[in-house]
Amino acid sequence: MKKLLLAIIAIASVMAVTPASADAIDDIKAKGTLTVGVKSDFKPYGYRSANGDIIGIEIDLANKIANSLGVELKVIPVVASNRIQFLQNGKIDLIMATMADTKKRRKVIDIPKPNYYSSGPTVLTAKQAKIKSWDALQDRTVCGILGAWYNKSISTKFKFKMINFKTTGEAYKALQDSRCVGFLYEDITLLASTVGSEWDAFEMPISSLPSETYAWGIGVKKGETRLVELLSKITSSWHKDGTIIGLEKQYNLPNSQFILDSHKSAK
Amino acid sequence: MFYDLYLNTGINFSIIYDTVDREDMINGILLEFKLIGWCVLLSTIIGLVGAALQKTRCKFAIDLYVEFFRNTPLIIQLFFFYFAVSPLLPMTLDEFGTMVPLIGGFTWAVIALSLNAGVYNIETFRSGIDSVSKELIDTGKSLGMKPWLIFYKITFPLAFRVSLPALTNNMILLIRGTTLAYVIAVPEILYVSNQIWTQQSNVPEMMVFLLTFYILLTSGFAYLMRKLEKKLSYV
Repeated sequence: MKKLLLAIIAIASVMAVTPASADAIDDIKAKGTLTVGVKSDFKPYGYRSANGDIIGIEIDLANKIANSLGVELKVIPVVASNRIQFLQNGKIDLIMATMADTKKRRKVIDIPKPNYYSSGPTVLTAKQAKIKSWDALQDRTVCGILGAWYNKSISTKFKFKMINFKTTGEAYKALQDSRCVGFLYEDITLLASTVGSEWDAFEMPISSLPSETYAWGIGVKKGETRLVELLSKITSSWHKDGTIIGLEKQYNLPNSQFILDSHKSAK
Repeated sequence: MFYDLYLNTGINFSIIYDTVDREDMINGILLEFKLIGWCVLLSTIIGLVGAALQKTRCKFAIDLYVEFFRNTPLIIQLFFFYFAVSPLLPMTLDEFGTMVPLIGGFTWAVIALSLNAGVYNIETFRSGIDSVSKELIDTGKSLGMKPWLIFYKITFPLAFRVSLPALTNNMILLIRGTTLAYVIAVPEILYVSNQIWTQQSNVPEMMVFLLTFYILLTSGFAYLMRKLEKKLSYV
């Protein structure tokens, strides 16, 4: 019992001491490195190059944050199930790992606004079909993935028929065989997998619905107000000066609608 | 009532209380019956014609067809027709003026399933025909009957009766095989169920429903076939 009490006191005192120490920005500057948790298996946002280094759009963005702090960048590969624990126990300073900004996550970590990226279901469609809006899909046939969570809500809202397949390979083939006018799927995956000349005749002109879209955010430990403010400033500058537009081009991605829209409204 | 069941116990039969799910499921069941109806009809015709042709010079072609379909999995046949054969066929214009494939998923499912079940029916009918004793056919010949008349009046009625139990088996295999049509996006009941259980996370409930549906369907079908057998045995 005594031991347990001592342990509790020890933990409580550690927790009490942490906020009292210098804030995260000072810590990072003192260390001389900014440690960021990134994806290592999500091309082109965070993946391993031929020689094993982790590279990608999010790593380039993290590098820009490190530069503005005047420190070196160190990346640590994380996965969805461990990234928040890594942040909370101090193994990493920031999360930049295709993380959706949700209410549930905001309860345990801070996520600076504006969001730097976004993903949600959109429609890949043949250019000659001339589908430019969700409403244009009415009564048409759209390919999809069997069991995707947004199929029912979007297809009933815009009154289109769906033919759904088990995996994306079949759906892409069905679209190329003109079995459907479009393929309803996650925009970032569509962007990344439709690179190449055989996709020249296809486009993604419709932006994903606000109700079904998840914005991506940088994860910061709770209570670091100065760091959050700094990151907000940095991400808004990215939208203003078109940094992410440039990165998408650099990684051979067509520009996503969210990025173009944020660039327009930031100007 | 079923919504209350869900709220009180968590047992979620959304296909009964949710209007969208219910409509999808009713359409799925109707499509299932349509699919089975077409396949039973076409595969029986294929079986009869194939068995008849086996006695002619076309035997080689029939044997080739039988070997091809009996030695490859049904799911691969479905994929093969839908993704490999279909793009080679001409396209047609739909009501919106876009080019679409001539043959859709449902028709390909009917074609593949019928051709597949047809193979087994050919073998079943062939064994039925072989079981008709030579003496009976010789009797027909001695009465001066033409070969087609012998087939129509003597061989076929006897062979069909002998073939029926095995035919019932083939048809039950066919009915169970129709669920595979969901891999080429034919919205039959497994496809509809899959879509519903990802939305409602009610996999166990949908599994119970699917099993019950198929038990009722196949036992009902077998019952009808047994009745037909009984009726024919008094001919």
